[in-house]
Amino acid sequence: MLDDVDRRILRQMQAAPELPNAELAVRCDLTSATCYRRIEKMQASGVLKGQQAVIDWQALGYAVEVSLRITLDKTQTRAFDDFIEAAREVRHVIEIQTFLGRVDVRLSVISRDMGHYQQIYREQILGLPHIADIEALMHVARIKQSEGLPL
Amino acid sequence: MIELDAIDRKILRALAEDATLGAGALGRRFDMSQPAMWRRVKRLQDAGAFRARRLVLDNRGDRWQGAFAWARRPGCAGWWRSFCWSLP
Repeated sequence: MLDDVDRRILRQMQAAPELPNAELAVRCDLTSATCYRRIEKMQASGVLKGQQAVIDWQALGYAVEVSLRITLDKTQTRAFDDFIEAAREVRHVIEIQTFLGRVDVRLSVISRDMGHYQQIYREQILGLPHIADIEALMHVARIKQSEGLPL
Repeated sequence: MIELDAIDRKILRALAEDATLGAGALGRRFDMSQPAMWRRVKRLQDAGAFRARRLVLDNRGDRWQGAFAWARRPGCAGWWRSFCWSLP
Protein backbone atom coordinates (compact mmCIF):
# COMPACT_ATOMS: atom_id res chain seq x y z
CA MET A 1 0.00 0.00 0.00
CA LEU A 2 1.25 3.44 -0.88
CA ASP A 3 1.66 6.10 1.76
CA ASP A 4 2.19 9.84 1.41
CA VAL A 5 5.96 9.48 1.09
CA ASP A 6 5.56 7.00 -1.79
CA ARG A 7 3.13 9.33 -3.50
CA ARG A 8 5.54 12.23 -3.04
CA ILE A 9 8.27 10.19 -4.72
CA LEU A 10 5.97 9.22 -7.60
CA ARG A 11 4.87 12.84 -8.08
CA GLN A 12 8.47 14.01 -8.32
CA MET A 13 9.40 11.10 -10.59
CA GLN A 14 6.49 11.85 -12.90
CA ALA A 15 7.61 15.45 -13.19
CA ALA A 16 11.19 14.48 -14.02
CA PRO A 17 11.71 10.74 -14.57
CA GLU A 18 15.31 11.13 -15.73
CA LEU A 19 16.53 12.58 -12.42
CA PRO A 20 19.29 10.63 -10.68
CA ASN A 21 18.33 9.12 -7.35
CA ALA A 22 20.33 11.61 -5.26
CA GLU A 23 18.61 14.61 -6.85
CA LEU A 24 15.20 12.94 -6.57
CA ALA A 25 15.82 12.33 -2.85
CA VAL A 26 16.62 16.02 -2.33
CA ARG A 27 13.40 17.06 -4.05
CA CYS A 28 11.39 14.65 -1.92
CA ASP A 29 13.17 15.77 1.21
CA LEU A 30 14.40 12.25 1.94
CA THR A 31 17.81 10.65 2.36
CA SER A 32 18.91 8.94 -0.81
CA ALA A 33 18.99 5.57 0.98
CA THR A 34 15.34 5.90 2.02
CA CYS A 35 14.37 7.11 -1.41
CA TYR A 36 16.17 4.21 -3.08
CA ARG A 37 14.58 1.68 -0.74
CA ARG A 38 11.10 3.07 -1.37
CA ILE A 39 11.58 2.94 -5.13
CA GLU A 40 12.87 -0.62 -4.94
CA LYS A 41 9.85 -1.60 -2.88
CA MET A 42 7.45 -0.04 -5.39
CA GLN A 43 9.24 -1.80 -8.22
CA ALA A 44 9.07 -5.13 -6.40
CA SER A 45 5.35 -4.76 -5.67
CA GLY A 46 4.71 -3.92 -9.31
CA VAL A 47 3.45 -0.37 -8.73
CA LEU A 48 6.37 1.19 -10.54
CA LYS A 49 6.68 -0.76 -13.76
CA GLY A 50 9.24 1.26 -15.64
CA GLN A 51 9.78 4.24 -17.88
CA GLN A 52 8.91 4.71 -21.52
CA ALA A 53 10.23 7.26 -23.98
CA VAL A 54 7.58 9.45 -25.58
CA ILE A 55 8.52 9.83 -29.22
CA ASP A 56 8.04 13.18 -30.92
CA TRP A 57 7.01 12.03 -34.39
CA GLN A 58 6.76 15.55 -35.75
CA ALA A 59 10.40 16.20 -34.94
CA LEU A 60 11.24 13.10 -36.98
CA GLY A 61 9.48 14.46 -40.03
CA TYR A 62 6.03 12.95 -39.59
CA ALA A 63 4.16 16.22 -40.03
CA VAL A 64 0.69 14.88 -40.80
CA GLU A 65 -1.42 13.11 -38.21
CA VAL A 66 -4.88 11.91 -39.10
CA SER A 67 -7.45 10.47 -36.77
CA LEU A 68 -9.61 7.86 -38.46
CA ARG A 69 -12.93 6.98 -36.89
CA ILE A 70 -13.98 3.64 -38.15
CA THR A 71 -17.30 1.85 -37.96
CA LEU A 72 -17.05 -1.89 -38.44
CA ASP A 73 -19.40 -4.31 -40.09
CA LYS A 74 -20.78 -5.98 -36.97
CA THR A 75 -22.63 -8.66 -38.90
CA GLN A 76 -19.21 -10.31 -39.02
CA THR A 77 -18.61 -11.98 -35.68
CA ARG A 78 -14.85 -11.60 -35.83
CA ALA A 79 -14.94 -8.02 -37.11
CA PHE A 80 -13.16 -6.48 -34.12
CA ASP A 81 -10.51 -9.15 -33.74
CA ASP A 82 -9.68 -9.32 -37.44
CA PHE A 83 -9.61 -5.57 -37.83
CA ILE A 84 -7.43 -4.87 -34.81
CA GLU A 85 -5.04 -7.66 -35.64
CA ALA A 86 -4.57 -6.26 -39.16
CA ALA A 87 -4.39 -2.64 -37.99
CA ARG A 88 -1.59 -3.52 -35.57
CA GLU A 89 0.52 -4.58 -38.52
CA VAL A 90 0.28 -1.17 -40.23
CA ARG A 91 3.47 0.58 -39.19
CA HIS A 92 2.09 4.09 -39.52
CA VAL A 93 -0.74 3.44 -37.10
CA ILE A 94 0.57 4.72 -33.79
CA GLU A 95 -2.57 4.36 -31.72
CA ILE A 96 -5.62 2.11 -31.73
CA GLN A 97 -8.58 2.85 -29.50
CA THR A 98 -11.85 0.95 -29.27
CA PHE A 99 -15.19 2.44 -28.26
CA LEU A 100 -18.74 1.61 -27.40
CA GLY A 101 -20.98 3.74 -29.57
CA ARG A 102 -21.50 4.79 -33.15
CA VAL A 103 -17.77 4.69 -33.82
CA ASP A 104 -16.08 1.38 -33.06
CA VAL A 105 -12.39 2.08 -33.48
CA ARG A 106 -10.16 5.11 -33.78
CA LEU A 107 -6.76 4.91 -35.41
CA SER A 108 -4.06 7.56 -35.28
CA VAL A 109 -2.05 7.48 -38.48
CA ILE A 110 1.15 9.44 -38.99
CA SER A 111 2.74 10.30 -42.31
CA ARG A 112 5.36 12.60 -43.77
CA ASP A 113 2.99 14.69 -45.89
CA MET A 114 -0.41 14.56 -47.56
CA GLY A 115 0.87 12.55 -50.51
CA HIS A 116 2.39 10.00 -48.19
CA TYR A 117 -0.85 9.91 -46.19
CA GLN A 118 -2.92 9.22 -49.29
CA GLN A 119 -0.61 6.40 -50.20
CA ILE A 120 -0.93 4.83 -46.73
CA TYR A 121 -4.68 5.36 -46.78
CA ARG A 122 -5.19 3.71 -50.14
CA GLU A 123 -2.70 0.90 -49.81
CA GLN A 124 -2.93 -0.02 -46.16
CA ILE A 125 -5.99 1.42 -44.44
CA LEU A 126 -8.66 0.70 -47.04
CA GLY A 127 -7.46 -2.89 -47.22
CA LEU A 128 -8.23 -3.53 -43.54
CA PRO A 129 -11.03 -6.06 -43.04
CA HIS A 130 -14.71 -5.43 -42.17
CA ILE A 131 -14.77 -1.63 -42.50
CA ALA A 132 -18.31 -0.28 -42.90
CA ASP A 133 -17.53 3.43 -42.70
CA ILE A 134 -14.54 5.75 -42.22
CA GLU A 135 -14.45 9.35 -41.13
CA ALA A 136 -11.10 11.12 -41.26
CA LEU A 137 -10.18 14.00 -39.00
CA MET A 138 -6.98 15.84 -39.71
CA HIS A 139 -5.06 16.69 -36.62
CA VAL A 140 -4.26 20.38 -36.17
CA ALA A 141 -3.00 20.87 -32.65
CA ARG A 142 -2.67 18.91 -29.46
CA ILE A 143 -3.92 21.27 -26.78
CA LYS A 144 -3.55 19.09 -23.75
CA GLN A 145 -1.87 15.76 -23.33
CA SER A 146 -1.17 14.90 -19.79
CA GLU A 147 1.22 12.05 -19.26
CA GLY A 148 0.96 12.18 -15.51
CA LEU A 149 -1.49 10.73 -13.06
CA PRO A 150 -3.25 12.94 -10.52
CA LEU A 151 -1.34 11.56 -7.54
CA MET B 1 14.33 16.49 -39.82
CA ILE B 2 16.52 13.42 -40.15
CA GLU B 3 16.39 10.26 -42.19
CA LEU B 4 15.54 7.14 -40.23
CA ASP B 5 16.80 3.72 -41.16
CA ALA B 6 15.59 0.34 -39.93
CA ILE B 7 17.93 0.34 -36.94
CA ASP B 8 16.81 3.83 -35.88
CA ARG B 9 13.23 2.62 -35.92
CA LYS B 10 14.14 -0.41 -33.84
CA ILE B 11 15.87 1.86 -31.32
CA LEU B 12 12.82 4.13 -31.13
CA ARG B 13 10.56 1.14 -30.58
CA ALA B 14 12.82 -0.28 -27.89
CA LEU B 15 13.02 3.02 -26.01
CA ALA B 16 9.28 3.56 -26.30
CA GLU B 17 8.97 0.28 -24.41
CA ASP B 18 11.75 0.92 -21.92
CA ALA B 19 13.39 4.33 -21.70
CA THR B 20 15.98 3.18 -19.18
CA LEU B 21 17.90 1.07 -21.72
CA GLY B 22 21.40 2.41 -22.10
CA ALA B 23 23.64 2.36 -25.15
CA GLY B 24 25.29 -0.82 -23.87
CA ALA B 25 22.02 -2.74 -23.50
CA LEU B 26 20.67 -1.47 -26.81
CA GLY B 27 23.94 -2.34 -28.52
CA ARG B 28 23.81 -5.91 -27.23
CA ARG B 29 20.21 -6.24 -28.36
CA PHE B 30 20.85 -5.01 -31.89
CA ASP B 31 24.36 -6.36 -32.26
CA MET B 32 26.26 -3.08 -32.26
CA SER B 33 29.15 -1.68 -30.26
CA GLN B 34 28.28 0.55 -27.35
CA PRO B 35 29.93 3.70 -28.83
CA ALA B 36 28.21 3.18 -32.19
CA MET B 37 24.87 2.80 -30.45
CA TRP B 38 25.55 5.84 -28.29
CA ARG B 39 26.13 7.92 -31.43
CA ARG B 40 22.84 6.68 -32.90
CA VAL B 41 20.86 7.53 -29.79
CA LYS B 42 22.60 10.90 -29.51
CA ARG B 43 21.68 11.69 -33.11
CA LEU B 44 18.02 10.89 -32.43
CA GLN B 45 18.14 12.89 -29.24
CA ASP B 46 19.64 15.91 -31.01
CA ALA B 47 16.89 15.72 -33.61
CA GLY B 48 14.36 16.06 -30.79
CA ALA B 49 13.01 12.54 -31.16
CA PHE B 50 12.34 12.10 -27.45
CA ARG B 51 9.72 14.47 -26.14
CA ALA B 52 9.54 13.17 -22.62
CA ARG B 53 9.69 10.15 -20.42
CA ARG B 54 6.59 8.61 -19.02
CA LEU B 55 6.43 6.71 -15.78
CA VAL B 56 4.51 3.46 -16.03
CA LEU B 57 2.49 2.92 -12.89
CA ASP B 58 0.15 0.12 -12.00
CA ASN B 59 -1.75 -0.41 -8.81
CA ARG B 60 -3.13 -3.85 -9.40
CA GLY B 61 -0.79 -5.10 -6.70
CA ASP B 62 -1.69 -2.14 -4.58
CA ARG B 63 -5.47 -1.95 -5.05
CA TRP B 64 -7.49 1.18 -4.88
CA GLN B 65 -5.55 3.19 -2.31
CA GLY B 66 -2.54 3.64 -4.52
CA ALA B 67 -1.91 5.15 -7.87
CA PHE B 68 -4.44 4.66 -10.62
CA ALA B 69 -3.65 1.88 -13.01
CA TRP B 70 -2.03 3.18 -16.10
CA ALA B 71 -1.36 1.73 -19.49
CA ARG B 72 -0.13 3.91 -22.32
CA ARG B 73 -2.32 6.98 -22.60
CA PRO B 74 -5.50 7.95 -20.80
CA GLY B 75 -8.51 7.41 -23.01
CA CYS B 76 -7.25 4.29 -24.66
CA ALA B 77 -8.83 0.91 -24.20
CA GLY B 78 -5.91 -0.48 -22.26
CA TRP B 79 -6.12 2.31 -19.79
CA TRP B 80 -9.81 1.75 -19.28
CA ARG B 81 -9.31 -1.97 -18.88
CA SER B 82 -6.64 -1.60 -16.25
CA PHE B 83 -8.72 1.06 -14.54
CA CYS B 84 -11.58 -1.43 -14.25
CA TRP B 85 -9.30 -4.15 -12.95
CA SER B 86 -8.01 -1.80 -10.32
CA LEU B 87 -11.43 -1.39 -8.72
CA PRO B 88 -11.62 -3.09 -5.35
